[in-house]
Amino acid sequence: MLIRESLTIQQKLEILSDAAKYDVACTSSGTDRQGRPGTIGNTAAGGICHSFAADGRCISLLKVLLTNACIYDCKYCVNRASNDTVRTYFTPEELCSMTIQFYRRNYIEGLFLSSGILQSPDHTMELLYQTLYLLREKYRFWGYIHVKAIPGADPALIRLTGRLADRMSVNLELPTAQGLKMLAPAKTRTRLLTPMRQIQQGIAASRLPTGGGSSRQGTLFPLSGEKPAPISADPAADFPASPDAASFSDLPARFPPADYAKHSRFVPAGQSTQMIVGATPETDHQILSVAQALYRQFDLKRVFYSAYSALNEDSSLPAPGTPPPLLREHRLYQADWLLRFYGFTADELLSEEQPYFNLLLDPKCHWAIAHLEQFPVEVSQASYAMLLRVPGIGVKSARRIVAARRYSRLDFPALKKMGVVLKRAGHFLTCGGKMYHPIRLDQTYLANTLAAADQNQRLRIEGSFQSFRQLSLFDDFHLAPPSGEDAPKALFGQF
Amino acid sequence: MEMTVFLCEDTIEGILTGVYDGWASRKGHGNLRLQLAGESNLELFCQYQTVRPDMVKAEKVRCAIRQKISAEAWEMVYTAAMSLDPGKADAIYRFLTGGFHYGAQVTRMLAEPAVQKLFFLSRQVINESHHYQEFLRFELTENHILAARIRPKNNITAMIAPHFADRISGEDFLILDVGRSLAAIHPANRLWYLTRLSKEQTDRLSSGQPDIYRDLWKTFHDSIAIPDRINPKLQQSLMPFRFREFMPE
Ligand code: SF4
Repeated sequence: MLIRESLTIQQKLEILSDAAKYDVACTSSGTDRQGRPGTIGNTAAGGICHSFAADGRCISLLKVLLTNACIYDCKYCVNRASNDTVRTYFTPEELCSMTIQFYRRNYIEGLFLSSGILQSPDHTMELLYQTLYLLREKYRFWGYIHVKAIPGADPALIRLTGRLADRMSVNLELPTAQGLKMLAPAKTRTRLLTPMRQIQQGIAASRLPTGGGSSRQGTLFPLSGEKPAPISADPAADFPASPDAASFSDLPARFPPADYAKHSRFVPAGQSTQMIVGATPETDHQILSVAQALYRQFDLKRVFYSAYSALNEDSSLPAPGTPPPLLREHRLYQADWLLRFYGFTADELLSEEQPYFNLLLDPKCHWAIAHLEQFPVEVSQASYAMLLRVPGIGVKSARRIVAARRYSRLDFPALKKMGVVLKRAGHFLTCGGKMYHPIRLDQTYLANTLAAADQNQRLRIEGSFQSFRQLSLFDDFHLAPPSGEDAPKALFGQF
Repeated sequence: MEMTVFLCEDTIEGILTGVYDGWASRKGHGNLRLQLAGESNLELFCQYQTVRPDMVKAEKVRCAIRQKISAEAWEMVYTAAMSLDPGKADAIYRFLTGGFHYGAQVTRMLAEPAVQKLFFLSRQVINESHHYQEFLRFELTENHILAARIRPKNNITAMIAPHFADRISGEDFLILDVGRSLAAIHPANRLWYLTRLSKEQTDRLSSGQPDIYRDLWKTFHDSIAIPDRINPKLQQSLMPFRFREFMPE
């Protein structure tokens, strides 16, 4: 593989951000850190989104690869070794100055650094660590950093890196072991889950109350036996020429414990992962069940879903040009939300018999229509947990209802002001015994009405009329997608 | 009884002084109204009284809100006072009549129209200031000052300045509300302050310096989008044009 050295920074940025864009995570949430004199940067717990790309996705971080060269050949990946593309790399210095200069101008919240595998997992992980070290120590950057943990890298390197990052992630990519075997033979389930488990344990350990910074540091810097020496050489200098792959045991000498690490915990914003949707035949039910297991067993902060863009030619993949299943991805995100904040489980939402979400309805509406026996609920009496299950009521509005109903009788206009979407909730609620729509609860009728109400959003996601051609998959509730002629009419009626 | 209208200056002190004077007049809440000076025509059968902004009175009202109602209520009043809504002064007065009666619980009484109204105003202002924390862009001027120009609907400059003072404390920067000629000035490692800028001063800020990092940002912004997901409508709804006036991308 030929690595091009003679590119301008502009050309490198173009290549290395282009190669990073299929990693969908771009949030800067999870840590609340105030600025400190003498440093640059702080972080906001909710994250801050600074721009939106032409595809409508949020841009919060400078999302780039350290290099797009890779020794592996995962079939779904644009950077796989067998693809004939220009390969290049950033030096750590280049990455640092770009991060700082973008940050000063308020373009970004920080850096999201990932990489192809250069020479070996250890070598790659060390380069990631070097970059973070430089950014935190020399450039005094205290903003947000999300970095990949490279599967197969030495745990000691991951431990060190985790002290400098806000978030770490290992992408599971494919929800089942068969899927992985088929498309990424070099990655096994265990190989991916090992660093995930390590990060989980590291986070848990660094949350434990300790007697002070020093003892905590002891456990997380097991390599720092020698006396710390100042950084002698410019870390950028030995890049990309490899130090011996196993030579990271001298890291503590080259990188004395970072000042930043004294003030921060291990991966304080938690870890996340990503699964590709639509490259392999896994069902929504399988994907969501894996996500649930990851939340429960690995304490993940977020699972991201990435609708597969068919770029590579391969018999085991969808043909190039197949549009990414955006609506399916959107339904998975909605369901993910229901798992994390609304008390639903994967098996309540889907089953072996019904393994896919209805593309015409959001998962909450879908669930409610299938459980009409539990509705309507009375606003003045329903438990908080039940309010959360009503379509059109979000976490905030449910809280507001519970707070406000202690002081006065709520009517529908008041609910609307609290953020309840009556178009949906109106079908499932009573206020003082009264319905918003004086009609019976009927599955087919409701499914049609709510699917029509969802139409604008679907259009927003898909960005074209194309969706209507794909929506012939399911008819759980005797739904038929609008026919070719009706579709545009129905749409223009709404604009 | 004849309606008395208290005309307040459009500042937090002005409005709070109006609240103080209105209250102290003992005319009864139903017989008085607060209005921003310069808003709308005068009406018949009303007696007009101009309120002179008074720091001492305003401070008394602020303390009373914090102590007798809650810090949250003060937050709501302050943010609502930054709103562009011409009815905000009276909305604050109505909210406070409820607030001084019910105490801290008033902020949860969302079925009350007066509470709803203030809640709505405050939320609008807070939302807009969040948007500017996201979409504001600094430009590097000739003398190495970072300058950001914004054109917000509500008066949010003072609300976003602390955010930037915390994160880039070592920078000389300023944020200029172009429409109001109001600027937050932050000298490196010192406290920021609010000031009005003259026309020449604001003109000098729009220098149009070449900047390699601005070009790099545009490159990045273009190449990070996934081609088979291009969706300009979605992009536009998430990042409306009115925020883009001073954004490079
Ligand atoms: S290891 Fe990562 S970069 Fe390399 S081919 Fe696989 S997915 Fe792509």
